[in-house]
Amino acid sequence: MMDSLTRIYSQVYKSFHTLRRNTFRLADVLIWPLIFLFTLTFFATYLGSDAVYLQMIILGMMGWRMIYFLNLEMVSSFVDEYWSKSLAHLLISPISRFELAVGSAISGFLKAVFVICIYLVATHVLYGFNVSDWPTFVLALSFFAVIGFSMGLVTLGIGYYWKEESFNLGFIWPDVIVLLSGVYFSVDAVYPAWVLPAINLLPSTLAFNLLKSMVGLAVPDIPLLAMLSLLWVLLAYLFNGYMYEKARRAGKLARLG
Amino acid sequence: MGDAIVIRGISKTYRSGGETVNALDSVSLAIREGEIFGLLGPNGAGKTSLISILAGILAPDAGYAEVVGLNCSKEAKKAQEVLNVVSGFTGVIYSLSVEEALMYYALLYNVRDAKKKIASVIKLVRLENARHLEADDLSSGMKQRYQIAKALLSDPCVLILDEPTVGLDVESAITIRDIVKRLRKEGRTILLTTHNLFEAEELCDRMAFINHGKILATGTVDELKERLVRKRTIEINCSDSQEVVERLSKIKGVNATVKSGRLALVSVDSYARMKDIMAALAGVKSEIYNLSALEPTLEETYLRIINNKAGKRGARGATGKEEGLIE
Repeated sequence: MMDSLTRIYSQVYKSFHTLRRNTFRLADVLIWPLIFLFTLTFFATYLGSDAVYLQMIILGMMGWRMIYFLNLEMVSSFVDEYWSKSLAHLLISPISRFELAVGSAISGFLKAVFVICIYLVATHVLYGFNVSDWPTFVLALSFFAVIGFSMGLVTLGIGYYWKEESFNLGFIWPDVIVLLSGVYFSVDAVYPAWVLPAINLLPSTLAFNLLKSMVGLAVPDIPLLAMLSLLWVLLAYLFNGYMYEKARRAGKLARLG
Repeated sequence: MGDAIVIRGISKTYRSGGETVNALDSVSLAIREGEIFGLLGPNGAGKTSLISILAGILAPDAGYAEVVGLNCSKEAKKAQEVLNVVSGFTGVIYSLSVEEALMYYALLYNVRDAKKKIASVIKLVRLENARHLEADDLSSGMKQRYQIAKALLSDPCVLILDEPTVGLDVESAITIRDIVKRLRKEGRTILLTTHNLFEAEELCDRMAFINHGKILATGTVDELKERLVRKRTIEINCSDSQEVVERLSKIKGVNATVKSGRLALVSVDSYARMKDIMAALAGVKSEIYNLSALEPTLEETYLRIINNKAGKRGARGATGKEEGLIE
């Protein structure tokens, strides 16, 4: 057990020291999140939106950051090793694919928590924003972490076989999910009725509904959200394992020579 | 001593450009504990596929490989705990100093007392002055030494060195070879792949030649050379080669020819004839300046065996197998 925890920690250690020495990576947690935040909140205040919509945007941005950082950290931690040609050294080590995924997901989670803390301070100072219901807020963020982890497992699985293409996918498909899940709007008001049954079965849609319920803009369905989130993790883990073995059989996992 | 690495009937095919490529074809090998074993072959011979299977990152189609009794496919994670790889082709992780990168690998391998171990491997590979530099900024030679340090952190029973001196200057290559010799003294089993035959001859206790996914020959350098040498040749530098040739030709099992006025070439079926030759030379009027045995080099042996595919008829109509060159 301790050995496994140490290997999981290895990924957090790598991520922390890479972040510390890399200006571009630092910008990813210090500058870009604030630019995204202010772009949307300035636009909303310019339009003279109600405080409740501004709160929805701020909460949505926090939830989305959780998905974004978990998914992206899981794939970038892997693709970084590929780019530096050290991937073979990682994969010939005793770390299991589960430990690798959990380790990088924890790094992503810590980055997300750091950014969310910055958001909480910045929005409190600028807009007087306060979290009205902490238990719901924490519960929603936990679900976003599980969803981000599922997405990261899928992206990482693709990375085992296709390597850097997964990095592009790591950027694209969270954006698609975000668009479908109605982070900053109501899906019922935007999408045609025939698409809604599918969209409402996305755990991300249900998780954003949970956040929106904090400002009275949606009705949460926590049991369904919990069930679908677990289903996603299970399916994603199976996919990840399938892709790992497929890559290992095809000789695409890593090259030594 | 037992076998540290056992490979039995390993086969591996890939699909490449719509064609099936036989990377490994029923390869079997046994590498003893504590020996340096060389795996030599041209590019695309199957060396990388074989070491990738041992390292657990490639699944074989058939057969099995074991490292200290652990199956490299079914018990890959356990086997990876006792094995490590130094490769001349892999890079170092970005944005970490030498010490940080080694700590990262120490965590991956659950190295106990990691700081002390890191200090000792850094000292072994002489990187004390570079410990705080970013690993990616090191010179090629230093990067290879860093890789050896990384591989030794986990104190592996089996070490795979995949072209460890490729692209290095002479001094760096000598340093790496010195380190490898020190590792042999520690009793580690080392599997070395290299295109540098001088290096293989200097370091390896035994070696195998591989081509087209098949092991063609295995043995010590002398045993491999022995396969090539049907008749041993002695070169005699003398004042009158004609007289020497006439005298030696009378000895049974000896075939002597004049190469030049001062040089005679003598073929013998065994060095046991040397006593007769020396006795005959004692009776000639000609001055004898020098007498030397002409041995094939490892390079000649390698080229002869690698190019003599089983089933392919040689100049004299015999196949490499019939000639005894190929196992």
